Amino acid sequence: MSDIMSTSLSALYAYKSALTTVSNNIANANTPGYSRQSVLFAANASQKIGSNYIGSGVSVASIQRNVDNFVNYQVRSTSSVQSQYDTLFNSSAQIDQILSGDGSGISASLQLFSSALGAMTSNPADRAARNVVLQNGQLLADRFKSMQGILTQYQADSTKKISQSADQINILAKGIADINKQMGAGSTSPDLLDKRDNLLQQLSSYSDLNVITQSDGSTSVGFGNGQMLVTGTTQHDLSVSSSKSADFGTKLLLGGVDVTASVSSGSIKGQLDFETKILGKASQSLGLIAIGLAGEFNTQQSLGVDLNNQLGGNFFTDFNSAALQEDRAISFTSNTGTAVVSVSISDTSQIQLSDYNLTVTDAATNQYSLVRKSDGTSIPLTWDSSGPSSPATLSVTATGNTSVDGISITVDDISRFANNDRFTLVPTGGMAGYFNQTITDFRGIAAASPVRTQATAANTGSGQIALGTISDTSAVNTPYTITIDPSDATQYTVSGDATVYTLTPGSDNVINIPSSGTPSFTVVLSGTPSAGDSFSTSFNSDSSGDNSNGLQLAKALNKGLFSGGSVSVIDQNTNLISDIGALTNDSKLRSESAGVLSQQAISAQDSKSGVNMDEEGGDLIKYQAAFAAVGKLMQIVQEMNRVILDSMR
Amino acid sequence: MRISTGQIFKTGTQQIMTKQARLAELSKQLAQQAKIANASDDSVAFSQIQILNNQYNKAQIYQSNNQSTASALNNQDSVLSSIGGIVQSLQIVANQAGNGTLSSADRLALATQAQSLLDALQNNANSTDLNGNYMFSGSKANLAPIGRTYDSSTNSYDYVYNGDDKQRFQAISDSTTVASNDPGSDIFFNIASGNGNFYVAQTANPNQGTVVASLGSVPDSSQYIPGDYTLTINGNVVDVTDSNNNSVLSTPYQDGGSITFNGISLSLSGSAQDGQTFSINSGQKVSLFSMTQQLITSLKAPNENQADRAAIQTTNYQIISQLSRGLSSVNNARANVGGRLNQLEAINTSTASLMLINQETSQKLSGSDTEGLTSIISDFQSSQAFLQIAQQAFTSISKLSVFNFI
Repeated sequence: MSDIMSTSLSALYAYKSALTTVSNNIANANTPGYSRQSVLFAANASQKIGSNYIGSGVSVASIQRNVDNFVNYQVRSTSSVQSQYDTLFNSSAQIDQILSGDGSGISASLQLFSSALGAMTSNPADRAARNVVLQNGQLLADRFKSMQGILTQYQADSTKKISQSADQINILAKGIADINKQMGAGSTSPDLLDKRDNLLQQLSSYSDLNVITQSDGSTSVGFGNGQMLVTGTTQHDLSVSSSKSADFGTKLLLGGVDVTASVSSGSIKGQLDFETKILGKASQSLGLIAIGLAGEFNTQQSLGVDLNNQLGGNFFTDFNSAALQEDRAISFTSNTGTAVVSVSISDTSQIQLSDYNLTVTDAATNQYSLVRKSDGTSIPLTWDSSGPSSPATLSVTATGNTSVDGISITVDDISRFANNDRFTLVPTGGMAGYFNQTITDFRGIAAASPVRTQATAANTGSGQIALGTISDTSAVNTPYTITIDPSDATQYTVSGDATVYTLTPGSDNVINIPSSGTPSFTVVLSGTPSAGDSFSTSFNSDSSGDNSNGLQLAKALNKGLFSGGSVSVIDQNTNLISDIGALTNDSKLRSESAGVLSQQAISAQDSKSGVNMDEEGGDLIKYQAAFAAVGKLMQIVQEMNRVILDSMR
Repeated sequence: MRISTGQIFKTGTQQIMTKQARLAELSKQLAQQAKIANASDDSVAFSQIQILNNQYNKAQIYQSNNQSTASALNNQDSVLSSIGGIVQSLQIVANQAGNGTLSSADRLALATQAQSLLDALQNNANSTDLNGNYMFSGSKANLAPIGRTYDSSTNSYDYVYNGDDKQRFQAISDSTTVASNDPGSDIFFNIASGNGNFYVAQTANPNQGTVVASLGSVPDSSQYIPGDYTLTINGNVVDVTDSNNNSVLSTPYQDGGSITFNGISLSLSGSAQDGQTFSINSGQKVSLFSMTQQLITSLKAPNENQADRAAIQTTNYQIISQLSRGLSSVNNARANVGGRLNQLEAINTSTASLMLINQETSQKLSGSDTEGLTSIISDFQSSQAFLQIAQQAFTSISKLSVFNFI
């Protein structure tokens, strides 16, 4: 009788445990990271009575955690990729909107400026038209600076976000280390394991990490390059480098080692990509536009005459000022030499959207290495030893050019270099922030050409003179006279030159002024001048109604300045906007497809570890019924006992 | 496949959220009435829209350049038209001045009339445009182009041009520029004197003979040798010498007959007196103002005897010819302006149609045309329906639980 009793009791305990497990499952149905537990029953060892074995009940063999480590790994790796592109998309969508929005980008300001210039050429003497040009120029400059300000702000915010992520990672890693410690003390509680898996999963959304299960059951977590966040019970702090870096990009340090390059996915990677691919690129591109626009305008201004009868001064910031040249080369704090490097823009059409690393490999033999960061190309260099040693200009060994990718690199004193000195060269990045309109007076706009050509009033022929092209203004202040030979209308001389030149009457004769040496400008003599006629050129003073240089200024925005002269300021801006737009859209699509994969992995995980209420309901009924049956069994045993006791009475 | 309860809720809400996001995107498109608002919506189409917008903006600048050039040219044309009228009035005066029966008083009255016409001429030539800039002074827009100085020795005015020869050009398309002004030097000055080849003047003072020289002409330009010649009548012989005092012609004087030398043909009439001389100068230039001044001086000249009248007549031939060439210079400038206005009109039309095409393409690309809007609206409605279906499915599935029956 006692064997039936003990069998019943064992079943009672087993089903109670099963019901407790079911209730725990139901209770934790919505607990993040909770893995469904199920009870495995096992029959107790049978007793041999005579030649027969009689069972002795049931016991709970184990309460199982339903987990699949491979699925968990998939969840981690897919969520890592998804959060990378999610982060990239969410951040770049903001820049995309700012750049392509009508009110915020520079497109609208460029067009307003262009319209104002067009209106000014219709009325070059009109004060109001000139003031509209200045107002719109100022608006454009403000827009450049505010765009650069926005990019800088986003960079600072991004560093803050990464820093916060690093803090989160440290907290999560600490949690894993703690669990490792508890497990070292012998605990293998399923809650602990669930918690660890959950921590690992949370970590994966920040960055993909290597997870290594050690033989003692503890888990180590590290970056791809072997730098460990958690080893056993020790946790190492991840931090953001506080040293100011010249180019866009936050640096992550783990135990003093730069691990930025080891981050290959996760929200931190998304944020890092946002910094280099979106913010860095936009900053470089905007800087290039600012440099190109200012350079073209200032050059064209210098070839014209303003209302004060002066050659035009700078319209916008001079991006080759000594201060800005030095700003473009940032020396590393680790440098032991004291050389000051300057970078000047020599040809905007050759400029590449990239930063450069300049390293002194051997100061004694003048060995340097220059690496273009955008594609990693290494350019062989030497210092021009034949030129003045101070300052010395860098030249490219193979070709003898002194400029690389449209920039010239100069050092104040070559002897101040020390081995392993490093410099980051930033030709265009951030330059939009320096874009100012330096002209303040409407009279300063050089709308007129610097040379006035005049046919002498007493001329008897039909010859006409017009201004050709202006190369420089070296000879515009000097009056020149072209005199047709008094006896031969096909010959002429130019003042300051004894040479007799031949002209073809009735066609356009292009004449260099001055006629000997390097010409400063050309004039075109057309028609049929008579013998003895003369024509003169002089400085174009009091020419408020002349718009010829203004027409050139108005063309500047649509002139091919970049990429070998095929891309204009307006094109470059369009390219920038569409490049950022394409990247944004790309990250959106990638985030969506990574989202699908991540959902599948999570579904697989849920399907393995998640609680199904209906299933638990079924189990509940099943175990409840079994429990009731065992209760009935005990009642029967009790009755059997009573029957026996009664019979003995 | 085993599905957890959490999964049912998660999938259900996720599907609803995806559909809501799509609906929100479509409602944003409806609000902005275009499919593409940012570069990320479709970067290729967006950059094309940007290029089209830039072209449109350029075309707009060209259109406004076109309008301002046209208004400047129209202004100039109306001023030139009134100048032409003044020159025609001067021609009438000059023709009246040729009438030998006029008294000195009559001639003085004509001189006064001519003087007021000359002042009007100067005023008109010194016209300013809407912005207060002088129309005819080339690039020296702040300087009145026509200045005059009083010459006490001749009791008359000398007229000078203060502007320069520069024409202002305005871009009205990528490849076309049109001049928006004409310097006064071209229109009012630089008019060939006399008959267009040479100017004949009586030089001897006091005047003795009554010979009148005709306007003169160049019948065969291949024979014509320009130069400064002196014609002297002595003892009924006409002698012509060139500037180096070499004789080019010596022929008996014949009343009403014509002489020809070096391609120059001239007829002389009246009774010859010894010592009467004429100068014949080639290639001189005269302005509309100085030729009018000549007319006034001639009208004020002594008109006492036959000899005076002969001198006046010789001058008058030249003046009438000069005035007609002055008028043709003005008319020529007007024709020029008219041609440019026609060109402006033609390009205006083609630019406007380009702008229209541009706008239509841009609307098509951004999906803001009728077709695009219709597709947004229909997408919106179908998304709305799908969202409702997803919501209903979710609520009915979530109601299913075995606990409802325990």
